[in-house]
Amino acid sequence: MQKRGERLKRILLLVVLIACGVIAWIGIILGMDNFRVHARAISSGIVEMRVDFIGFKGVVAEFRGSLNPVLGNGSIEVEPEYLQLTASDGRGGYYGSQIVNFHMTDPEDFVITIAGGYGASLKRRIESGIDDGETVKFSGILRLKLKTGKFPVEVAYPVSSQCEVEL
Amino acid sequence: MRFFKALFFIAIAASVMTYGELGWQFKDFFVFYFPWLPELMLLFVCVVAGWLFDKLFHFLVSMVFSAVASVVVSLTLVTITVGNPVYSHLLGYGVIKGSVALAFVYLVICSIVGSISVMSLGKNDKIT
Repeated sequence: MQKRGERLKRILLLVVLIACGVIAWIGIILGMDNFRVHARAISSGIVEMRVDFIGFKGVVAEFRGSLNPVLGNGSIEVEPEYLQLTASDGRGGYYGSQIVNFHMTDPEDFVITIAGGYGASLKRRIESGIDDGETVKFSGILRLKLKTGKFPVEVAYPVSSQCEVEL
Repeated sequence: MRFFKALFFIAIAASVMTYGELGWQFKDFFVFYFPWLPELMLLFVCVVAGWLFDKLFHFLVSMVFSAVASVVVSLTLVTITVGNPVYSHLLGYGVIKGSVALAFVYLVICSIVGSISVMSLGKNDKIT
């Protein structure tokens, strides 16, 4: 009787062990399949960012930005979350950084500003500049939600753009 | 029989370790994943090792094989899954580092837990 109980216990442990292996492989296969879909979407797509200079309001330089993410040949639905941008010139000058929250603004039409000391510095540079204008480069990270695969996933995508600032 | 028991143990432990390694690194993508589930399963597997192994040495060797196999399986799966050479190159170093680090942590913890289990439950003959 005791031997039978021991055998039953061993069988039960064996079944639980096999169940652990099966759970692990279900997790691995589903997870990696979802990752495959997202990875292909990211590597096959492009995020276009366009920035145009609007003008100066005092010492605040205003830019109009628009994002056009085309991932997986346009077949993948994306939802931009936020954009973290850094503005600079080509000579290493830094004009500050900004976060654009797309829960509040439209990704196809949003405003970027260079304000405060950075805005004043940019305006001064253009006013006293040898050239007619100044090229401002914007680079940063766009966090977007990919609505593909088994469930949405947030990914970071590098973006960059530049525009000419003239008075 | 001992050989098959060890092989069975390696297969299960390596699977759970792979699940843990990939789960930690790609948890945003993992549909079926609960934090600490792989670790709990691994602890269970180590406790059960006492019934599967008679000798501590056999258990420790199996544990090393499991850790190595899990790293190999993780890296193979990621390479196959990504499929894009440019992307896999960017991904490569981080995944190798992450998988090796996690496999090492699992190996150390499982060796300690499993050793206690084998010493107390198995018919260990004091490493002979």
